[in-house]
Amino acid sequence: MSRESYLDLERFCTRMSESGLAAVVAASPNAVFHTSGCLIITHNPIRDRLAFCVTTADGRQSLVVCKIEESHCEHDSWVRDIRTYIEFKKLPTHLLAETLADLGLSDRRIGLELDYLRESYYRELKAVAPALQFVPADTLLAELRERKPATQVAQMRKAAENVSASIDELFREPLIGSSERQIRARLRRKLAERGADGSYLVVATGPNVAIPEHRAGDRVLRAGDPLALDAAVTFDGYVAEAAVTRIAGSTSAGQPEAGLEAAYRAAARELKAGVRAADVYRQAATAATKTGGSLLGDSVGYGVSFGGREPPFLATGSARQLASGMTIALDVAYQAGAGLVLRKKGMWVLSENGATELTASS
Amino acid sequence: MSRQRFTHTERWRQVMRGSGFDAAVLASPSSIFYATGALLPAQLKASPSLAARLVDDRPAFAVVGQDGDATLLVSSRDAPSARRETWASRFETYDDLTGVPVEQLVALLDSMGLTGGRLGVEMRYVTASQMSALSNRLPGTRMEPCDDHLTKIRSVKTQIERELLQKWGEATAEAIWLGFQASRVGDTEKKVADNIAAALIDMGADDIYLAVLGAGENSLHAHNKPGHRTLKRGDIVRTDYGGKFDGFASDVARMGVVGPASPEQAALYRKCRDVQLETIHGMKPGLEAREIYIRCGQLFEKAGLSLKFPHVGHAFALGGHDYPMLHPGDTTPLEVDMIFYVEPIFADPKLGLIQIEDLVQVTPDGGKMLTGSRDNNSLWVIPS
Repeated sequence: MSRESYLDLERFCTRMSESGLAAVVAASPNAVFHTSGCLIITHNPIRDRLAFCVTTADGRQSLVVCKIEESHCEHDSWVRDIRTYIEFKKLPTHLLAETLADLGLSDRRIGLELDYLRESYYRELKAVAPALQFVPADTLLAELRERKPATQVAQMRKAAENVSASIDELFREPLIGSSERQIRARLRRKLAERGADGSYLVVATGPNVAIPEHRAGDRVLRAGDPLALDAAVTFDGYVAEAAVTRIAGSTSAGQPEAGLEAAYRAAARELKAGVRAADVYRQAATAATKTGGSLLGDSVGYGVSFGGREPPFLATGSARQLASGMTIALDVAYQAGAGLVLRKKGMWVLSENGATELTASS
Repeated sequence: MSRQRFTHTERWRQVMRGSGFDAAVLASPSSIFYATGALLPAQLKASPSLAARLVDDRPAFAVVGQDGDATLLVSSRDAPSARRETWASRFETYDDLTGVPVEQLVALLDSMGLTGGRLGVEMRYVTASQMSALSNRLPGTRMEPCDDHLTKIRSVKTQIERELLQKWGEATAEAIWLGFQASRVGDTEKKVADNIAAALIDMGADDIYLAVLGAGENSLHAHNKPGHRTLKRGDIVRTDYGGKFDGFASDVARMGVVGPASPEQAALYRKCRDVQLETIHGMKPGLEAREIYIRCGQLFEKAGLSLKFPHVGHAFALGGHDYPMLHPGDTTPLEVDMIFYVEPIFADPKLGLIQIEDLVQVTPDGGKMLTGSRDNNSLWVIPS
């Protein structure tokens, strides 16, 4: 993997200098992936098997990983300075401290993901490197991820297309009479056939649609029920998100669906570089009101990188300016007059002139 | 779900009373699931292939007393589904958009009369930022790690927990078998992995937890992400695979060969399988975890091979590695009804990395294999 098509190292270093940091240590799976190109699959599930990517303000990079991941990192990462620890023989935090010392940083100001790094490991690190001054770098790293190069957008588009195609295919099949669990399994299988690595799927019917994180159960879908799907799916480390609500057995869009669509499209039209995040929300809210409904919640979307909600948040009161290259999950929850809640979520990439939809699910 | 379904309440009480903590503050989704029955989205999302930070979205906390009675604090977004599932006797929420979870945790501890005393905190999961905020707000409260206490509680399984782990371990082994049978020479590694995924979902998995698969030279990468390399006749194929099932997980490794195995491949595999079976047989209560590692190393040597990997197995709860671990520094004595995934690994530069991983229950007579329904005493043959 080439760094140039992936990480804007120059911007990273500039941001470090502006923040008075001698280096930033990425510790979370998505920050290590973003700053090194290496997605270490045991990073999440094996809590003690820490991985770090150190980037100095003058552009040097070092990876600190478990010995068992060395060959994988050599293969996937552009970082050539890979330092390894043997589990149960050497603590990863101690190797990180040694690495920082080798880089001439043993008494410097270092950015660290304090919203990710667990307390016990932070204590180990501070104990072995007392002269180092650690400050939070979570926001700096999240902002660095906000604007994507074309190669990352292409990967996200591919992931989004797979999710859209799976959902569209599911809706072409007869679903009435199936339980939420059965619908969920059918969708997951379709995703597996398209190469999905991991997923988080919400399938809700009838009154369960009102539960945002409902876990699919035994309720059976009946004609006239709303059916809500919400999917976050990874392909090769890139996540695609989509959500859709349909009325089972309905062949044409009714008022609630038209109202949701109007609010969603109004938000989408506002998505462009230079616009304030709060204005996107305001446009959606105005459109929702015009159709006799309202928005549910204070936000209509968020940034997407490798999973999880990230800045910028399209929320009331957010003064953040949107920028070209940002990838956004536009997520509109619309409450119709009768109390029915419908939701639509799709992925968009921003440019100076507007936004292009990555998820083209109907 | 009732507590007795799978949480070892008696062991909780025994360990926590011995700890001297007034209560334990849990933060990891898996510990919260184990102690309260609430299956949070963060637990369901936890996936090696999903590089999400997971913790910063919507943290949750459980405060659990010495008697195992739990109070749960979750975001308003997660509350409706968590409330349905938990057996926690008290349920509190914070606003998803405007709430400050740590502040509400402090208020909750105060309302429970737990400030100023001694609290166990899951410090291998609580973030440095959260702990800093907690320490600032609770200067008179002693907060100490309780992670080892939690793993000690979890390490001995109830019958229902064993049955669930066995059921899903067996399903995973069978899905690998089915995935291998659906694959052919010329398929990519990714295609083989997708075949296994499809079979596992058909068998009831919610999602894929772990999907390591490598063919030929790629089998030497410990955690090879299945890619575009195509299967060739004679290739060794190694997979370490797991699914997610209602909050539980599985972690099974199996080996295949494309077409008939060569005599060298068959012999090496058989040697490694014998080492694994002998190691399992010797897992008797009272032995220390490190002794199992040492014994495994001796068995490798006896077979003319050598043990280079830092561990040969791990306890397993709800995903990932749990403790005790079968490594040379773990002095935890084995107890009846502990559960381990046992996986001695041997790397041969020419023949590939041999890894067979099975779920094992410690019994008075030694280890009992729980994932052995489909015979894997020889390499599984992928049709050529």
